[in-house]
Formats: sequence, C-alpha cells, structure tokens
Amino acid sequence: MASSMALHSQVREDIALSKDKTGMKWVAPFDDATAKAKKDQRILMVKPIAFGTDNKGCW
Amino acid sequence: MLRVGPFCDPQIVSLSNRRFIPFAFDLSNKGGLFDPTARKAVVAVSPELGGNGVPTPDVLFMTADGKLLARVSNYASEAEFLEVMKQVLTDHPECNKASKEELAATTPLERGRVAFELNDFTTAKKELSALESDESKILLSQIARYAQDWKTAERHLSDITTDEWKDDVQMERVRMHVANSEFEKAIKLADLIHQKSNRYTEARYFKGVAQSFNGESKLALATWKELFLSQKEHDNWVYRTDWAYSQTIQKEKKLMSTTGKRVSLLGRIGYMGRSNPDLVKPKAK
Repeated sequence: MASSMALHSQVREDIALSKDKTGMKWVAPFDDATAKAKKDQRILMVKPIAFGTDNKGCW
Repeated sequence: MLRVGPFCDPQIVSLSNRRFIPFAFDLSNKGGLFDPTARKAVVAVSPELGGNGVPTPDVLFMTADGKLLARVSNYASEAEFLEVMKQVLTDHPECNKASKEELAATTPLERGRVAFELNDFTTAKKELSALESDESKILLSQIARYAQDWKTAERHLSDITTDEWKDDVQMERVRMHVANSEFEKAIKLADLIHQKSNRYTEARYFKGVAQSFNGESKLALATWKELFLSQKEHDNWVYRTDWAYSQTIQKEKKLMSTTGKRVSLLGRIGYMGRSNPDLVKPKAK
C-alpha cells in the first residue's frame, strides 16, 4: 500500500532522530515541539530516556 | 523499549502523527538527545526523574505550557498505550480537532483513510464500504484484521483484482495464515513478496514468526538476521525483528546488553521489558 502517513511537521524533525524509520514524526528540540503543539492545538507526547542515546538518536 | 513496542505499532504511529506531537529526549547531559529545556519541564511534573538512578520513565502527555495530562508506562502493551492516547483525546477535545489537511479531505476514500489513521474504524467503514477502489478494500481488510474477523478480511481481499495491490493482498493473507496456524502457507506466500515491495520487511518478519511457530527456530533466526543485514534503514518491522530475534536467542526475558551474547542485532542499549506479542502462538483450530 502506498504510504498514506501524513507528514505534519514543518519544523525540525531533528537530525539526531533521522535514523528512526518507524514512521513516528518526532519533533525536536523541545522548543520546536512546544511551539508546534501550541500552533496546531495538539498534546505533547514526551518520551524521556533515562540511560543514554547515541548520536544517531538510538536508545 | 518503546521503539520496539508501541512506537512501532502502525495504529499508534498513525494516531500519534495525526493527533500528538511526539518528542523524545535524553535526561542525561551525556546523551546525544539531551535537551535541557525538556528536562526542566519534565522534572517539574515528574520530580523522580530529576536525580541519579532514575526509574524507567513513563511516556508523558503534556500541554505546550507544561501541564501533565496523563502518563503511560514504558512497558505498556500496544492496547494499553492506545487506550491512554484515546482517553487523553476524549478528555481534551480541544486538542482532538481535525487539521486543515483533514478538513480538506473531500472524497470518501480520503475521509476513510483519515478515519483509518485516527483509529476511528466506524467512520472509516462508513466512508469506505460503498467504494469500488482496491485501496478501500485493503483498508477494510485491515480493519477486519484488527478485529480478527478473518472471514470479512478475506471477503475484501477477494474483491481485489488488479496487480497494483498484489503485494498488499498477499501480505494480508500472510497475516491471516499466521493467525490461523497455517504456517506453511504463510511461509510460502511471504516468499512471494518482492524485495522492492513496501511490505517486504513485514513479509520477512512474519515469515520468521511463522517459522518459529512451525518449530523451526533456527530458520526463523536466519530469516530475521538476513532481513536485518539486508536493510540499511530500520523501519518498524526491522525493530520488531530485533525484538523477536533477541527474545528467541535469550529464550526467556533477560537483560539486554551491548556486549556479549545478549547483544541484540541492533546493538540496543537497555532492557526488554516485556515479551513480543507477535510470538504468542495462536491456538490451533
């Protein structure tokens, strides 16, 4: 099926997270995420990671 | 780990992208994703994350001005995670309004697709049922799959006649065969899905699942490893493969490590909090 996943984010979907191809449209940094949440009237879904991310954004 | 759990589930991914702003960061300033602004905001609502030796953090649902609305465990199942997402949207309808792009959807297929991605299957079925297009039938078959209504799923798949959706039809049938304990059929059909298909990684993943259920664990591991090695980028099925592979070689839940025998294919850091639900063998009929 042709991917019909919407591409919502117009702000930085950051370089550090670009290796994630799971389809999640992560928005970073936090300032951009909060700005987008305000603009789009959306809720932030925040995943804090406790023990180390590498420079590819993997955890 | 969420990336191998809820965050690689298609229903959660599509609802997240339509109704939430997903954000991840490292609490430690040593991590590549450290974000001091985020840390301050999160510790303000979840103070236990402010010290050393913090517990595995939940996923937090927050407003843009820092109010905590809900939380869900790092180790929640896909169903539990979806339930919290839907509840927080129900509690905050002001954040559950259609986007401009959704409002611009004018055809029944477009509206049906949006409703499908929002997990609103009642609306999706209403929009899609009268259509003749093959895409609508694929979506309807997937809705039936989510409900494990295989008879309805097959009815929709049987209505598809064009080659354009051949891989999707085959892949949906692979899923159906696995769920119905028809493992040999699933393995053979998965092998027909071409490497260039956008469902190739899913096909290889479920081929391995079928082999595992068929008592061929070594073949399953080989299938999963071959898939992993063939992919330069890691989509949700490759993450799922990493989970299945690690669980199978460990045989029981243990700590994962970046060294030694416990290393996952992806060299993941962290713990497997729960078992891969795809590896729960269906009851024979």
